[in-house]
Amino acid sequence: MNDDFELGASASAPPVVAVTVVHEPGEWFAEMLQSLAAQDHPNLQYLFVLTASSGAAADAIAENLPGASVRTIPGNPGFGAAANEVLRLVEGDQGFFCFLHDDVALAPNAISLLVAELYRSNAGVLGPKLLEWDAPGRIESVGLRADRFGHLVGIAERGEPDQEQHDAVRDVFCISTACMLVRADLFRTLGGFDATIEHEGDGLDLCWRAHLSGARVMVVPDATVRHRARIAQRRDDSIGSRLAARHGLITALVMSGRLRSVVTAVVAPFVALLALVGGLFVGSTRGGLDSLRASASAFGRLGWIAARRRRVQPLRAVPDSEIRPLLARGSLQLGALIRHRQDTEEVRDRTRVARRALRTSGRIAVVVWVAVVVWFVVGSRSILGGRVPTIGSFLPIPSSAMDLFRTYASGWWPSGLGRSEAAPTAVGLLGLANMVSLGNPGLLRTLLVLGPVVVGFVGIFHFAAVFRSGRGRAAALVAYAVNPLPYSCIAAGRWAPLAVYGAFPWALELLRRSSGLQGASGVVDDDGREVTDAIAVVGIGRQVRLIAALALLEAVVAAFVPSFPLLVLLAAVVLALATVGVRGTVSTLAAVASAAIAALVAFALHLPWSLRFLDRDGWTEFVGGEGGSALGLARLARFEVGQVPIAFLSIALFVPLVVGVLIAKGWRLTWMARAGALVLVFAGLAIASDSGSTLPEVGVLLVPVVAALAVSAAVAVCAFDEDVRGGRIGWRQPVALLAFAALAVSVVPGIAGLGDGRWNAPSPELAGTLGSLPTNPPSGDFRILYLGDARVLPLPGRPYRDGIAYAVSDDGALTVLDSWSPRSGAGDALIVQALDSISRLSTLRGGRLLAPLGIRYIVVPLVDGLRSRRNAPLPSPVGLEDALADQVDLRRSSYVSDQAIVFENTAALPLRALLGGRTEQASRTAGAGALVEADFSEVIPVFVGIPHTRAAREAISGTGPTVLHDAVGKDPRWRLTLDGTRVTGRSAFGWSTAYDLPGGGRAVLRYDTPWSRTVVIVVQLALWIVVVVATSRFRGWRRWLMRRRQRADVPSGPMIRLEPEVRP
Amino acid sequence: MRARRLLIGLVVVLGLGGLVAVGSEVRRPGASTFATLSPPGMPVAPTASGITSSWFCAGVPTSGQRGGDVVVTNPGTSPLRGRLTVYSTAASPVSQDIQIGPREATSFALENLSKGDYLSAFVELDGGLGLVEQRVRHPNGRSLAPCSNAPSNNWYFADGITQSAGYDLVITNPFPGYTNVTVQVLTVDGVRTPADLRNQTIAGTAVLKVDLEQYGLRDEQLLAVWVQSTPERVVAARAQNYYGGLGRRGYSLMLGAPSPDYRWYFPDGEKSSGVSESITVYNPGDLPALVAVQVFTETAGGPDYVSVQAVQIPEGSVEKVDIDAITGLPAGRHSIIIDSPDAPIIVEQVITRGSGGGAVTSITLGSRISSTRWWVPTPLDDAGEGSLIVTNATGVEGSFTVYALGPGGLAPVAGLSDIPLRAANDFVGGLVAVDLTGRDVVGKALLVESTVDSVVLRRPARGPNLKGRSSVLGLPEG
Repeated sequence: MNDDFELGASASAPPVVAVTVVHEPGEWFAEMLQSLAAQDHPNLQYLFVLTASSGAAADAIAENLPGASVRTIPGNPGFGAAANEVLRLVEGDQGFFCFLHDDVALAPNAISLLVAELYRSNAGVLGPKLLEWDAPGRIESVGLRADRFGHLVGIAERGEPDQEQHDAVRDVFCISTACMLVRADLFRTLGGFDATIEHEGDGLDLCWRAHLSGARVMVVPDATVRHRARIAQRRDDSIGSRLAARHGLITALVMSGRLRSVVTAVVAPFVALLALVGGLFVGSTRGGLDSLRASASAFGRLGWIAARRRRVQPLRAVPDSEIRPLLARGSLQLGALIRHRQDTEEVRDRTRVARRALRTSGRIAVVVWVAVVVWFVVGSRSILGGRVPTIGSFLPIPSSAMDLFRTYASGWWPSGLGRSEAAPTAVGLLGLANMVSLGNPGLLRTLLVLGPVVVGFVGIFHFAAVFRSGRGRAAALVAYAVNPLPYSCIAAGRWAPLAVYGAFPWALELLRRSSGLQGASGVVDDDGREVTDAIAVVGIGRQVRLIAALALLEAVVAAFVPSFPLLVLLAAVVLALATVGVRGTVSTLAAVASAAIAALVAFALHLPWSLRFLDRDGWTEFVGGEGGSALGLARLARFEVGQVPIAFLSIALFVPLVVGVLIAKGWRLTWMARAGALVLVFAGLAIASDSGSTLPEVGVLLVPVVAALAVSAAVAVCAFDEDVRGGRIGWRQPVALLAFAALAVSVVPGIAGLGDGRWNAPSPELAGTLGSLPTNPPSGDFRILYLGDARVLPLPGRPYRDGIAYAVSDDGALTVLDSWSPRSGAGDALIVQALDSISRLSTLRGGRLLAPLGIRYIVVPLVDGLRSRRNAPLPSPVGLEDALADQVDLRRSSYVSDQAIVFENTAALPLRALLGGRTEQASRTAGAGALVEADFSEVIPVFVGIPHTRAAREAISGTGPTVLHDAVGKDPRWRLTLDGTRVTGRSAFGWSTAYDLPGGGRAVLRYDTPWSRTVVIVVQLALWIVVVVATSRFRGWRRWLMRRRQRADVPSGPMIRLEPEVRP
Repeated sequence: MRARRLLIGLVVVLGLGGLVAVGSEVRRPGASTFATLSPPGMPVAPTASGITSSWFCAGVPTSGQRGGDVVVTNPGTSPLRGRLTVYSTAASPVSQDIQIGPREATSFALENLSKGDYLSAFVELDGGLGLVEQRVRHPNGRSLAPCSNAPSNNWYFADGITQSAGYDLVITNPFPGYTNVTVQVLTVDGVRTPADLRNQTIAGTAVLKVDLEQYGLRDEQLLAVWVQSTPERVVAARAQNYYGGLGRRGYSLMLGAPSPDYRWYFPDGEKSSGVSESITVYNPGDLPALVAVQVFTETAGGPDYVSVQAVQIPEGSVEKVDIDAITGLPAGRHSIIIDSPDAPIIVEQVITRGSGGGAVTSITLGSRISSTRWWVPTPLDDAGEGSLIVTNATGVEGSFTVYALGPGGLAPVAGLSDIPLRAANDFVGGLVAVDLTGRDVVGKALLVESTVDSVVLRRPARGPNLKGRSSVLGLPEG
C-alpha cells in the first residue's frame, strides 16, 4: 500500500503535524521520540504540548527532535483540551494532524501508511493497529465498536495474539486517541476534541462527530504502534471506567437523533441496573455502578446536553439513520457480562514490576451465584413474604422518619429513664433509611436483617477477586454463604453479627487495598521463582480515598455495633503480624495505620455520642454488654449462635484451612497464614467472650473467623489449581480433594435449614406478654423495668450483678430506639439502690423506691424462645422471684404467662401527674427512708400518651395550687409554662422534677433543645459529607481552575504552518 | 519454603488444638444469684439496720370480749417510727403512723382501728430495727405470739382438733393482688381438701377466716393442715378454742410453720401428775421420716429408761407421740429435741397442765434454731415462778444472764447474772427454769444472753382471772 501512495503521490508530500501530548513521561518517552524521529513520512513536523508536570521532557525532545515545537501549558487539562492547542498553534488546513500519546512507539512507516490510506479511502479519521508495549505479538486495539449508550468494546480482545486476523483495513466506529490521524480541515470543522472531556471518551466524541459530518473512520492495521497504556501506574486518580461510562452516555445523547436520544436516556438506567445485577453474579459490579452513575450524571446535565446538541447540529451532514447501522445492536456492556473476559493488571513485588493475567469469574461464578441466591431466597421466603419476627434485637423501627429526625435533633434522649444527651447517630441514619424505604418500616426491617447477608456474599466474592481465580472466588462465596453463623443469628435474633457479617469482607477488602496486598499469581522474582507476597502501588490520593471509605463503612456499622472499628483494627493488626511472621511484606503494616485512622475518623463521625464510650463503664457499652453467652466450645465451633439443624457438619469448614496449609506454596501459603491467624485470634476471643469476658458478643467475634475460613477455602482451591493439579501423583492430591469434600459437606446444614423459610427463627415468645401490657392507659404513662438474666432481656441491659441486668422502656411496644439507653445517671442509681434493697430484703416496699421513676411494671423474662426455650429454659436468677414476691407493694400482674413473670408496682407514679395532699408533701422529701413511707396515691395523670420528644399541652383544671410531677431527672432544659408564664421546676423525690403550679391553666411542657446541639448536628453532618466526598475523586473544582489558568497563560500565536513539502 | 510451611502448619494446628483445650475448660455458668434468701422460718429479731423492718402479725379475733393488740418494742436509743396497717375480714385496710419511744414497748389495740371477725396487722418500722408481737385477749385465756418476718406460700399446722374445740384458720393476704388458697387437711382418715377450700380467693390486703367445722371437719381428734397460696404469699395462723376435748382447755392463736425442718427444739416439758404432754409430728413430704425424739431430763432416769425414742412417720401423715408414755421418764422438767435427718417435718408440742375445769393447754411450735441472744419483747404482766426456761442446745457448759430493758438501757436483772447452764451430758441437765419475780422484770422487755447456743421459752400468765400459763418461745436474734 505504501508503494501505491508513492506511486500516486504528487511531487508534494502532504504535511503532517504529529501532535503529542506529554504528561509525566517515563523512561519510555525516549523510545517514543526515537520512533517519531524514525518516521519515513517526508513532511512531518512535530508539536509537543507539555503539561506542567512533564519534567525534563523538553530536554529529551530537543535532544531527539531538535526542530520540534514545544508548548508547555499549565496544569493537566486532559488530553483533548491539550491536543486542541493544535488549532491555535498550527496554521493552515491542507494537511493532517496525527495525535499521539506520549507512551506510544510508532513503526517507522506508521504515519506514511495512515496518510496513504487516508487518500485511498477518502477517510477523515484513521488509526493504526495498537500492539502491547512489552508484547508486540499481542493486540491492544484494532478499532472500537460502540453501542447506542456510548459503551465501547474493542474489535479485538485485549491481549489477543496478533496472527494477522484483524489486518484488513476497515471502517470502525471509533479509534483510540493513542494514535489518530485526522484531516486538519475536518478537525477544525469539528472544533477539535471536546475540551470538557479530560480523560476517556474524547476519541468516541470526535469520531461520532466525524461520522455525523460524513467522514469515514477507519483502522489501518498495517500501520502498527506499540502502546504502553499503563494509566493506573501513572495517574493515581484514574477513574477510567466511570469517566468512560459518563462521557460515552453523554456523547451518545448529544450525537444521536432527537427521538433516539430520548429513548436512550430512558433506557440507559435500566440497562445499567441490569448490568449491576448481572455484575453481582460475576463479581464485577463496577461497570453497572459506573453506568448508573453515568445515567444520574446525564440527567443532571440535561441542560448542558441540550446546549451541546445545538452546537453539534450544524455538523450533521448525514441523517441519524445512516449512522445507526455503524453502532452495535443492543448493549455491549450486557453482552460483555456473559462472555469470559480477560484483563491485565500490574503488581509489584518490592523491586520489580510483573505482568499477569486477570480473569473475572466466568461461568462457574454465575452458576454458584445463581445457586446461592436461589438458596438464600428460598431459605428466607417466609421472612420475605411475611415479616421479620420480633425476636432478640430485631425490634420494630418507628414508622415516621420525621419522628426519628426529631428525636435525633433533640438534645433529649428519651430511652430508658431519659436524659439530656446526644442521640445516637444511628437514629439519624435510621431516619434516612426510613425515608429511602418510603416510610415502610417493615420493608426496612427486612432489608436490615437480610440485606447484610447478601452484602456479605458480595463482599467476600469481591475480596476473593484478589486471588484471580474464578474457582477460588466461587469457593470463598460458598464457604462464606453456607456458614451457619448468619442464619443462626437470624434464628437467635442477633442483629449485630449480621451487620458485621455484611460489612467485614468489605472492610477486609479496603484494608487489603490500602496496604496494596495482592495475590501474586504469575509474579516471579528475578530468579524466576514465584514470589511469596506481592503488593500493588497505592498512591496517596488513593490511600486517602480508601481510608475514607473504610472510615465511612466503619462509621455506618459502628452506629449500630460500636465495636466494629476496633474489630477491623484488630484484624489489621493480626494480618500485619501474620504477614511479617511469615516473612511477607511489611507493607501490610500500612493496613494497621489505615484501620487506626479509619477508626479515629469513625469515632469522630459519631461525636458527641461516641464520647460515652470513654466513660468508666464505657467499655461495657462499647462492646454491647457483658459476655457470657455460655454456648460452649462445640456450638462455637459450629457457629451455632441460634438453632441450626445438623450444624455439626459445619466444622468441615475448618478443613480447607488445614488442607491449605499442607498443600499451598508461595503467596498462597502466605494468605493461608493470614487466614489462620485471623481464625486463631478471633476464635480465641469468641471463647473468652463466651465464658464471660467483657468482649463483643460471640456472633460478632466469629465473623472474622467465618471470613478467614472463606479466604482459606479460596486459597485452598487456588493451591489445588496451581500447586497440586498437574503435579506428580502423591499425598497432595487426595489431601487437596479433602478441601472440596469438606466444602460439599458444609453445604448440607444450609440445605437442611431451608425448612421453614425463616432460618428457624422462633415466633416471638415475650411479645405476647409484653404486648398485653397497656399502652397510654388513662391511669397515666409509665415505664417498664426488665430485670433478670442478661441473656434473656428483650433489650440490651445495664449490668446489675452476677449476670443479672436491667433495662427500662416506656409503655407501648418496644422499638429499636429502646436499644440505646442514655448514660447511667441518678435515676439508674435509684434503680440499683432499689434492687439492692429488694435483694437484701432491707425493705418490703421496693415498689415505693421505684415509684418516682414511673416504673409500674417489673418484667422478669424467663423464656424468650432464643437462648431460653420452653424445653430448655435458662434458670432464673436465684432469689429474684422470691425477693420481688416479698415486696408488699408489688402484685403479680394478671398479664401472666410462662415466658415472663410480671409484677405490677401498685405504688408507681404516672410519668406525668398532678400531685395532691400527702403525695405532694412526699415529693419534697428524698432518700430511701422517705420513699418507703411516702404516699403515692393522690395523683391525677396528665399529658397521657405524649412522648417526651414532643411538646405536651393540656389544660389543668382547678383554682388552687397544685404540683405537676414529671418522672425525668431534674434538668433546666425542661420548660413548663402555665398560660404562657414559665414555672420553675424543682427536684422531687430526690431525683425527678416537680413544678409548683399556682393554679389551673393551659400547661405546656417541652424540652428546649440547646443551640449547641444544632451546631453539633451541622458540624457532624459536614464531617459526614467531607468523608463521603473524600471517598470519591471529587476534583472537578481543581480541573476547572486549571482550565481557567490554561486559558489565561497560553499564548495564542501559531507555531507551525501546514505547507506541502515539494519533493525533489 | 519447607521451614516456612512447617512454622505456619505448627502454629495453625497447635493454635486450633489450644483453642479446643481452652474452650473445653470453659464451664457454663449456672444460675446467677439475685438474693440469698433463707427459706421461710421462725420469726427472728433483726440484727442489722435496713430501710425498714417488716412484721406480719397473724391476726386477732375481735368479736365479743375478744380483742388484741400488737406490741412494738424499741430496744434502740432513739424514737422508732413506722406504720401500722390493719387488715380485716370485713373492711378495707387502715393505716396509721406509729412512734415508739426509745427503750420502750408500746401496744396498739387493733380493734380500735378496724372491724371484722379477725384483724391482722402489718407493722413497718423505719430503720430496720424493732420487735413486734401480737397479743390476743380472749375469755378463755390470753395468747401471745411473735409476728412473722415474711409471708409465705405455704403454712403448716401439725396439731389440731375439732372435738370439743373450735378451729379457725386466719389467713392474711398483705399484698395488693388477689391470691388463691387451698387448704389441705390431714386427718386419721387421710387427706381431705374440702371443695370450697380449693383455690379459695382472698382479695388483696384482706383477711380470710376459715372455720374448719363449717367444712365438715367436726369431732376430729387430730388434724394437720397445709395452707397453700398462689400467686401471692400469705400469713396463716391457727386459732383454737378448747372446750375440753381430749382434756384440753384454753385458747391458743399461733402462727403456722412456713416450712418443714429437720430439727426442732422444745424447752418446756414436764413429767408430773396432772400434766399430760405429747408431740405431734407432721410429715408433709414424699419421704418417710425416721424421727428421733431426744429427751433431756433434769435428773437421770431409771434403768429401763431410754432417752431417745425412734418413731417412723410415713410420708404425708401426722402422728402423735405421747411423751408421758415413755417408760422410765423421770419426773420433773425436761426439754426435747426432735431430729428427722431424712425428711423435714413439722412438730408441735401439746402440754395440758391441771385437770378438769382448771386445766390449761399450751400448744408450742418448736424452735428450729438456737441462739445466744433471745428477746422477750412483750413485757410480762406479772411475776411468776418458772416463767422463763432456758435450755442449753449444745454439749458445752455455759451460762446466761437476763437483762431488762429500761430507760437506761439493758441492765442485768439482779440475781439472774451468769447463771450456769450445764451441758446436756447423757441427756441429763442443761435446763434451767428461772423465776421472774420483782419489779426488775415486770413490765419490761427482757434479753437473755447466753455463752452457748440456747433456746428460751417464756410462760406468760393467761390472764388476770385465769389460772395457769401459756408457753411462748422467745424471739431469737437471726
